[in-house]
Amino acid sequence: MRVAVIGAGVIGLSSALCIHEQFHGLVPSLELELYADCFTPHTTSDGAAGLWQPYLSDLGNLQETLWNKETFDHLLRHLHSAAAQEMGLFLLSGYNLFTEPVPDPSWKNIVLGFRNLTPKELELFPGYSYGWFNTALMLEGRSYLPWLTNRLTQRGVKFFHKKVESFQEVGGDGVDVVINCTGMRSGELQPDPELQPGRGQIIKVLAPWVKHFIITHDVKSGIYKSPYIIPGSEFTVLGGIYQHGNWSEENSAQDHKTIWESCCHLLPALQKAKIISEWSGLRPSRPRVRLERESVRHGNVQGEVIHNYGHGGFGITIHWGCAMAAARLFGSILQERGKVASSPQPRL
Amino acid sequence: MAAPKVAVVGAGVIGLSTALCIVETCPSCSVTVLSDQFSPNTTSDVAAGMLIPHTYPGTPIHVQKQWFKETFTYLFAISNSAEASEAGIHLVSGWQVFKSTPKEELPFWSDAVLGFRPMSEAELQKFPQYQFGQAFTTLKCDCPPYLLWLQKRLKATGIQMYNRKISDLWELHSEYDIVVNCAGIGAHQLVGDRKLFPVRGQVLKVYAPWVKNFIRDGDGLTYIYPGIHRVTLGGTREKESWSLSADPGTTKDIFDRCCSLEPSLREAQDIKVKVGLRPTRQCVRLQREVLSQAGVKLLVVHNYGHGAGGFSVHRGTAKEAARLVGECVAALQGSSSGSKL
Repeated sequence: MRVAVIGAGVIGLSSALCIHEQFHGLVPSLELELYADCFTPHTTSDGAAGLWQPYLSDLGNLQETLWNKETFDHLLRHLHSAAAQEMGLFLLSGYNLFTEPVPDPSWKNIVLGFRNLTPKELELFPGYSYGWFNTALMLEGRSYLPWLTNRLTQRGVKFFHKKVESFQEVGGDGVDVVINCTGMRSGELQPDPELQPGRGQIIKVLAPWVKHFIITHDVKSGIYKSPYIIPGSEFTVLGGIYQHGNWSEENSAQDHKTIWESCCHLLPALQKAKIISEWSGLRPSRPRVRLERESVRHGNVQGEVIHNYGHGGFGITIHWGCAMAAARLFGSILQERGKVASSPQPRL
Repeated sequence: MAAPKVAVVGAGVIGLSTALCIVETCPSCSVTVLSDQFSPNTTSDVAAGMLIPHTYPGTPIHVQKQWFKETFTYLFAISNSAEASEAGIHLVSGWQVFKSTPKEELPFWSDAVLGFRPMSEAELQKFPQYQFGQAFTTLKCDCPPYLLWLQKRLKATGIQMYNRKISDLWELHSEYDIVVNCAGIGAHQLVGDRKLFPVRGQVLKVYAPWVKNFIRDGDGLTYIYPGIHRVTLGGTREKESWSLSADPGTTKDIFDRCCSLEPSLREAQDIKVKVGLRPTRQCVRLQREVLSQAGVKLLVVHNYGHGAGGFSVHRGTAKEAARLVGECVAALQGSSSGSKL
């Protein structure tokens, strides 16, 4: 049974791994292939700082909150494993800052040690009168994507460097199921007006004395439009740009100025930080994640597509929960086709 | 009288910060720093420089608290300025964990650090052998950067610093009016203080840049302190040991203990081993003394014996020492004009 995954960002790779882990034992004929025109370190996931943190509000979307929690808990279990460092996984504490009191987020009990900031802590951040402190996880794309790729390669998954122009292109030719993890460019395979770019720009600096993430919020402007500072294992990411509908992947001098000035104002110690590089990327934004099955015809053959895209600025945060959900959809396809007994899918 | 000539003996964190405080409070003084060791070869360079106080049995708690608060406030301001990275000062959050609940759940400094609170159940799950813990945010002074920054600020005020071994404070009586003794463990020899003894500490400084939080066992023996470039892993507390040589068995033991607190440290690279002798005393010796010999007097201010808590209280004790120097200056000026006591 051939399964084609399209996309090699965090969503594509983790979906492939989840499906292979759960079903290769049950379906001996399972052959997984991964198609992408873009691999690490050039994917959108590679540009992300890698901090696990959902948006402030889940807008009542409990499903996404559960997927976020599944991801956090899964990663936390790996924290003490021998693989953690290779995965780029580590704990990171830090601050969320506001100019006015806000309700607690949906994820307050998922992260560790969530609490409000004390007045003395707020003295560090003039202009902000309210905030949170918690310990979360970092999962750096530059390590995690290669780690996922290695796990997949070890399992015999085949990789194809190719731009897929249509579902039919991979769907025919004996491929039974296509997993669509094409992120920002899903619209090229199937138009989706709800999928829009949320352009971001970041500056990578050397500032190893920064040991906390600092994320500011301007509740009126919206997410990521206010400065943020996220220290990684080697570089610190400075950001604060979110431009809905902007498809440009060119670095903008104006955005550079905005990021640099606002981050140095937030953390004066950054003035001495050395700038290493700059990057722009497009968050694949959607009112909600598209994670569902669709039957697609190729000629006289009925094929199944499982869509898993539209994770905006929280792809890393939600990826494992979505991969598990994609695997469950895959499992139901298998049941329908009589490939497995109709009993509840075993969960690893 | 002419500008009082002050010699500060010792160029660790205590000597340099005391010299700086003297210049700040007594601009008329001419200050010189004399030491047989400068950074990176001082005891301070071995220390992680974490602001977590050590309790001195012989000093009133309110005094220790005052010293700590002064030091914390001073460094907090630097950490929040453009000078932070040069000075090596940064905030770091983490956990202090206990295998059994301590008698004193709230240490005297809990309201001086940031965000102090007991650890949650979920946080304690990360430390299966531990029953209780405290989470907080504090400051870290990385050495050598902090000492080099202090030296730079001292030079900017015109202070001279000389590499010179002093065997006896009397050597200085003809050149200086006041001597400030910040010799740390060197005071054992220099002034024959038998109440001062070394507590040997061996540490590892490793490259593990993904470790961003500190972890400390409440017993004070095992700790993981992330600095700017390296993580300090510790440690030992060996009373009366004068050995400055690294012990390989101890290195393995420290590494294993730290890996059991933080398993990812198994991947740490480039392990460097260092040894320092904590200059330990029941209480910090922070007092004036008048030495006399054959009718000649030498005014001395002692500021040594900070043991495991040097960084935590350095600014507070430096300010007190500077105040005592001020008293010495007043005493000199009060005596017959022009002549030395």
